[in-house]
Parts: sequence; C-alpha cells; structure tokens
Amino acid sequence: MCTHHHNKNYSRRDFLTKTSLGMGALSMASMLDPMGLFAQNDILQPSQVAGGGLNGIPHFPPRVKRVIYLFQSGAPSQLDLFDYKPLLNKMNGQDLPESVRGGQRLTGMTSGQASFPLAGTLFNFKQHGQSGAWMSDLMPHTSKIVDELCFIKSMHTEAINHDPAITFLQTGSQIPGRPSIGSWVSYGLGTDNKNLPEFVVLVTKGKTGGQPLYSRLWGNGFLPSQHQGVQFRSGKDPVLYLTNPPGIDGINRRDQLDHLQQLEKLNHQDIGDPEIIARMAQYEMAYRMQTSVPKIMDTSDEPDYIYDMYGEDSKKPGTFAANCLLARRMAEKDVKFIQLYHQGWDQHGNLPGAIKVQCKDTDQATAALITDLKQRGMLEDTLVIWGGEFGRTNYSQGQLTPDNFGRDHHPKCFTIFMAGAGIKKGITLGATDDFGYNVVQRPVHVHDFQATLMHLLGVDHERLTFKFQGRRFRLTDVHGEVVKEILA
Amino acid sequence: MLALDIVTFFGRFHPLLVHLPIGFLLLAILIEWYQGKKEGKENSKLITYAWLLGAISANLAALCGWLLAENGEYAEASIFWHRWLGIGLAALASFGWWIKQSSKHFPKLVNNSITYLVIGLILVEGHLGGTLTHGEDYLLAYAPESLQKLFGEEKKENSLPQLENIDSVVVYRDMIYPMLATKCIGCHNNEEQRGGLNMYLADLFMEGGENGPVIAPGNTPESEIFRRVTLRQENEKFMPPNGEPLSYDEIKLLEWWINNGADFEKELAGHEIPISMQKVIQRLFGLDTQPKPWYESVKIPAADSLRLKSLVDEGFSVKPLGYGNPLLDIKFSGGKLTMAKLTELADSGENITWLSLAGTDIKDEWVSIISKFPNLTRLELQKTRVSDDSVELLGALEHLESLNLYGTNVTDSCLSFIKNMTQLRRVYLWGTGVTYKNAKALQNERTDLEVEIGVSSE
Repeated sequence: MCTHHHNKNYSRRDFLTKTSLGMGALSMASMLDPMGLFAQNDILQPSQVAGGGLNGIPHFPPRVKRVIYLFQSGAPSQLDLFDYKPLLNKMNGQDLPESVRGGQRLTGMTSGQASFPLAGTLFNFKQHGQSGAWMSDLMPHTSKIVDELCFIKSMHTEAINHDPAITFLQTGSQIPGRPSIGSWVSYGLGTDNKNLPEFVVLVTKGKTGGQPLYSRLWGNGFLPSQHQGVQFRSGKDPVLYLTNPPGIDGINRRDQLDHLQQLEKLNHQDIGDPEIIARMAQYEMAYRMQTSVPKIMDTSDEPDYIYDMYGEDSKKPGTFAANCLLARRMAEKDVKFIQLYHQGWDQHGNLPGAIKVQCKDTDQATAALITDLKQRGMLEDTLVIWGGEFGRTNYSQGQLTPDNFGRDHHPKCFTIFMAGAGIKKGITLGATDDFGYNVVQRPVHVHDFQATLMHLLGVDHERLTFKFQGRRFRLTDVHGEVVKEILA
Repeated sequence: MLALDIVTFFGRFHPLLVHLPIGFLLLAILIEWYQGKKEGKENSKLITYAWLLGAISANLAALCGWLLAENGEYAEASIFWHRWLGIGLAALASFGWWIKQSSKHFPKLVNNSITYLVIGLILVEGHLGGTLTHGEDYLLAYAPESLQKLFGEEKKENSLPQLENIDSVVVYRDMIYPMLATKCIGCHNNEEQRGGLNMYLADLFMEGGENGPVIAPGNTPESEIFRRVTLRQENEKFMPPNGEPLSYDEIKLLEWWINNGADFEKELAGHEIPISMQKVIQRLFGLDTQPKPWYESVKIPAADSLRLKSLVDEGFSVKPLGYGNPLLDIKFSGGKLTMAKLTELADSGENITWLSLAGTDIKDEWVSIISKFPNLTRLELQKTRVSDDSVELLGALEHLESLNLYGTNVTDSCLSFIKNMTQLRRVYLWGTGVTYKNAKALQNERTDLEVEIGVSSE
C-alpha cells in the first residue's frame, strides 16, 4: 500500500483549520440548542433530501423556482421599443446638449463624431393595457400582455462594450473568470430533476450579428464544473457527443460507467481532487440525458395551436421561437435556469430596418411563452426575463436621415422587463430624463438586478459565497441591493 | 372675551406699523450720512424729525406687538427675542432722538454706535418677525442649493417616510402624523396655533381649535378637518391656505383613519385594510399591506426527518420551504402514485404547504387525504384525471391560495365549489371541461380570484 496514505491531501494547516472549525461549529450548535444536537427530530436541512445544493439554502421561502432568461445580445434600443421620448422627435437633428451628456465616455465608434444629432424614433408609441405601459408598434404581441410585465426603465451598467457588458451581467464582473448566474443557482440550489442539467443554454441559430458569444458566459468559473451551463443545439445531436458510438448499446455503457466509477473512486481516495467527483457526476448526467434529452427536444407532441401561438418560426429548430417552446418544455421538467441568447441587436447603422427583423424574430414567441406559462399555472413559480446588456444612445451614430439612423452603445440607461412569480405585474419602475440619456428615478444597477434575482430564488445574495484563491466570492461581489419595489 | 378681542384687534396693527420705524430710522441715518459728507454745515432739522417719527412709530409697533402676543397664538419661547429686541429698538430709537434734538455735542463714538446698533437691530428684529409670520424656511426655501447649504438649511423632503414592515406601524404615529407634518403642522404647532389649533400634540389636536373639535371620530362629514381639506380650493376656508393641498391618497388616508375612530394608538396590523386602502398605503408609504401568505405566518414543529426520508424513497421530492422552516414543498416525481403512498404522505400532512401531484394517477377518492392538509396553500393537480368531485373535497382546505387544474376532467359544475373557496386567489382551468363563458362569469363575480382559462384550442 501507499505509504503516503495518511497525509495524501491534507496539509498540517488544512487539518488544523478544518478540525478546529469543525469542533467550533459543533460546540456552537450545542450551545444554541443543547437538546437538538443529537436529536432525531431536527429540522430537515435542504441538502439532506434535495438534489445537491448547499446546506441552509434556500435561506428563505423562494418565490421563484425556475428562471427563463431571454437574453437579447447586442443591446436592443430602449428608445425605439419601450422608453418613449417625444422630446427626441421634437429636437430631431439638433445636437445633444453637453449638459445632458455630462462628459460621459463614448465608444471609439462615435467619439470622433463632429456632432451628436439627436435621433427621434421612427416608430409609433402607444399606451397599452390597464397599466398604460408605453410600447412601440414594433412589438404588437408583447404589447398585448403588458399587464403581465414589470418594466425596469432605469437599468444601468458599467461597461460600454459588448463582451465586458454581457460578462458583467452574466457573472457580476467585467473580467472573465467568474461563475455565471445559472452556475451560482445550480451550485446553491441543486437540481429538481436529476435527469436534466440544472442550467441549460439555447442559442438562436445563424444570428451572429457581428457579436460572438463565448461559452464562458455560461461557464462555471471557479465553481465545480458540473455547474456549468449545458448548451442544447438544434439538429440531430442536441448535446454534442451524447449518443453512444455505433456498436455500443445502453447496457454496455452502463457497465463501462460502473467500472469507471470504481476506478475513479480509488483515484479520488488517493489524490482527493474534487474535479474527479465533478467529472463522474457529469458522466452520470450524460448517461441519464441519453434518454431524457431526445424526449424533451422532440416537440412533435405539441398541438398545432401551440405552434400557432409561438409563430411560424417555432417549427424551425434553432429559431428563437423554437427555443422559447423548448424553454417551456424544460421548465415543465423543472430545469432551474434556462438561458436563451438571441443575437443581432447591435444596430450601429440602419437601425430602423434591422430592429424590425429582430422584433419579428422575438416578439411573438416572447409573448407566447409568457401566455403559455400563465395558462399552465407556471407563472406561479417561474420567472421570465427579457433584456440586453446595455442601452443605445439617443443620438445617431453616423448620418441622420429622415428614414435612417444608427445608435451607439449606451450604458447609462436601458430597459428590461420581467414576468412571473414573485414580482408585481403591470408596473414600471424607474425613469430616464426627457432625452432618454440619464436615469432620473430609482436607478437599478446590474448588481441590484442580480441581487433581486437571487432573492426571488430564496437566496440571500450576500450569503451565497465560494472561497477561491483565499477570498470569498459572490455573484454581486461587494455590491447589490434587492429592488424591493418590484417584489409582489 | 371682549377685552381680549379689543387687544387682538389692536395687536393686529403690529404687522402694519412695524414697517414705519424701519423706513423712518433708515431715512434718518441716510440723511445724516449725506450731510456728514458736506462738512461744516449745521445738522439739518430733518434728521431730528425723522428720528422722532422713527421713535414714535417704533414704540407704537412695540406696543401693538405686545398686545398681539397676548392672544396666546405664539409660544413664549419663540417670541422672547423678538419681543425684547423690539422693545430695545424702540428705546434705542427714543434715545437716538433725544441725542439729536439735544443742543449738547456728543462724541462721534456715541453717534456712530447708536447708528450701527439701530441698523443691526432692525435687520435682526425684522428677520425674527418675518420668521414668526412666514415660517422658518420661508426665506431660503427657493434659494440656490449652495446658499441653503451655507446657512445649514436642510432641504425639506416633502415626501412621506417609506415604511418597511407592517408589524411596527402605528397608524397615527407613522402615517397620519407624518402626513400632517408636511401639510398642516407648520401653522398648527406648539409655537403657533392658527385658529387656536395645535396638531403637534395628540390631545390638543383632539381638543380642537377655537371653534371646537376638528375631528369627529367615525364620522368624516362632521369632522371640520376633513371638511376644510376637501373644500373648493378657492374657498378662503380651504386648508392648507398656501402650499400644496392634500393629495387624493392623503385625503383617503385621513378619511379612513377618522372613519375607523381616529385612534392615536392603534397599530396598522390591527386594522382590516380594504383593498382600495391597500393601494393607497402602497402608493403613499411603499408598504405592502396585503395579507402575508399563510405559509409565512404558520408556526408548527418540524416534520419527522426519518419519515421524510422514507417519503423520498417512495418517489416524493421533499424540500423545506427555507432554512429552518418547518413547512414543506413536496412533489411526486417517481413512478406510479398509489393510495398507500399518499397515506404515508398524510403523516406529515400538517407540514405540507406546496404540493404537486401533476401528471400522476391520482384518483378522486384519494383527494380526501389531501383535503385534510391544514396548511396547504398551493396545490398542483394539472394533467391528472381528477374531476369535479375532487374540487368539492378541496373546499375543505381553508388556506388554499392557488389551485392548478389545467388538463383535468373538471367541468362547469366545479365552478360553484371554487366560488366558495374564499381564500383562493388563483385557479387554472385551461384545457378542461370548463367553458370560457362560465369561467368569465366566475371571474366577474370573484374579483379577488384570478381565473385562468387560457387560449382556446379551436
């Protein structure tokens, strides 16, 4: 036998920290509840029976059990969709007053522009529903369900370019390397369905729009790797390398995994690397997914009127509409965090033409998803989020003509909307100034949004942490306030 | 009272008279300075006359001021300095006249100090008087912010405090009083009681003003305060006479408080708050007064963890609602549901608040087991074969808030049972035998219940 068996993976320091803390915790527990220490009828702790997740989480009763995040990558123009600013039409073509910009930094794409002509929207705005929410004609379907929605018009972020901004929104840091929201959720709350991953990603096919997406946006960062998002693709192999190679059947596979399991167990005893457990967990998940994934991806059992609801596109695999339908099916199977990405919103030029295409791709399916969840009673515990990584400028990038203009990146304000469990419906939070440039009422920072999301899931964002390289990290780092005004 | 009326009558000439000495005395000083420039000439008689007029009017103003203070509208502490500096100014003006008319020559020092002292006193005294009449923040209310900061003037927030937790809220202390403080108490307080009304102290507020009580508990039409804030704004009796009138929500809040007995001690939690008032309170104070979900108020011992473990073995997914919370969120997800398994669930029935048996083989007869779970608030039975009989049994669940029946065999007959489930807030009936027309009828009848009938499959 190995002679180094006893000190294989514990240093003297580790031993002392772990044992002393352990004894401390034990004595603390008995001080707080002397009778309870060895009692049988102790309160059931979440992780004792749930599928993974951490001890003590959820911290409080969750309002939301699962999240569908419809990420609009490239940053949709709030000024042409939700944030109605008649002043821009009145002042169309005039220069953005410097007092409004206040020295705000610009991207390299417009910082050299001689003038910043204000660009009023070319689309008609109307108030909809009982809540009187303003929406442009671009989203006729979503306009019909505004009474289900909660708009936040005062979102603001720190980044001004796509990659740092998406990374910031998805991981809480502009610098890559932190776990994404879905990974934190998977790590903290565990699974409700052992046959499917907790965190699934669906990307609309063929819509790059100049801005790439990286898989690190759904990466686990420093969390154990089974918590990373699993991307489902359209086509023959929804999850790559999931099917058995020719000549290998299910029994064979099971046999192989069982033996591998035994070997890896020994390996783990020997070197104690937690990634061994993570990898085995992923192998097992993949095995179960061999049956569960084809079932969920095969939408042939959906009736025609459901396809009609989501729109013609929903029959074409890989479209946003088809992904929305899949998202609903996954939510029904208790996948905790379902993240859709739809690219192509980055309209620096030709905005009026391009945004129409984008809205046609997304509007009907978004509204259908929310309506569909509602009629199934799933808005009871499902949250839907729609939004991009920042907003767009009120002035035109490039030449402003009567029927064309572009808009540059704008981090100082943007609009997102949510629907579903735990939040008030038919409300609008926050406001921007008449120029649609600065937030003037109830600013909501990206970290506040993240804190609120975790709160809805029953997690105190300040208490879900992971120690890495000597420091405890959390999704909201040292920031974030729950936006109580929108909680139902 | 007649004597006091006469006193007040003369007293009210004070605001008129005070402006005279200011003018006369300043005029006297200006002429004096002008003459001082042209040396050698003898002092003009004009100066003496101006000082005389200044002295007389100052004394008259002081006298009227004294009489005005007699009516008790002003607290002694707040007028102390105004009163005695005013008398001092009157005396100084008289002394100044005496010097000017005297043929003796006084040293320059005496002349100059009287001049500067009078100017200083006029400024200070005038400001004190203005503050008494118009209020503390009158002068600087519209000054540029930097100037306000210089004088330590806090920008007064005209908004109401935002409340967080219903438990600690006393209706008068935390809601009514802060509202009155922004609109009324500026003129009805310890220092100043316009119309004899002090709203700063609860017992004096109840006592009312010079025309008697302003509040008739339980009776808003008879309450003077309510009448005055709801008069036409052009009416001279309208309150507040200047500044922003009470908003609709504030008037509603006042009305609600008076109708509920105008209690000064009662806590908000002790009130039953109608839905319209819930919205008013939400808008004014950002406070959510909707009754808490049942699962937040229930206190029971935790379920036996060994029993729960065996439930997990039977195919139930079992989760506590939160850390340290005895209530459970249970879903059946393993294989075939049997009556035996449900019976086992009943052992922990008290602890179950969310239960999902969606898509299982549950039968109508078994529902009687579930209908005995006292703390059940959310029940999912969608995509099962349960029928109207089950809904009738579920009527026994007193705290059920959400019931999902989509894709089941229920029909229009279940609506009468649902109508009687008074705590129910949401029911899902899409894809059942329930017709659109009848679902809408139920919706119209029960506005506190969301009836979700979904899109039609036709």
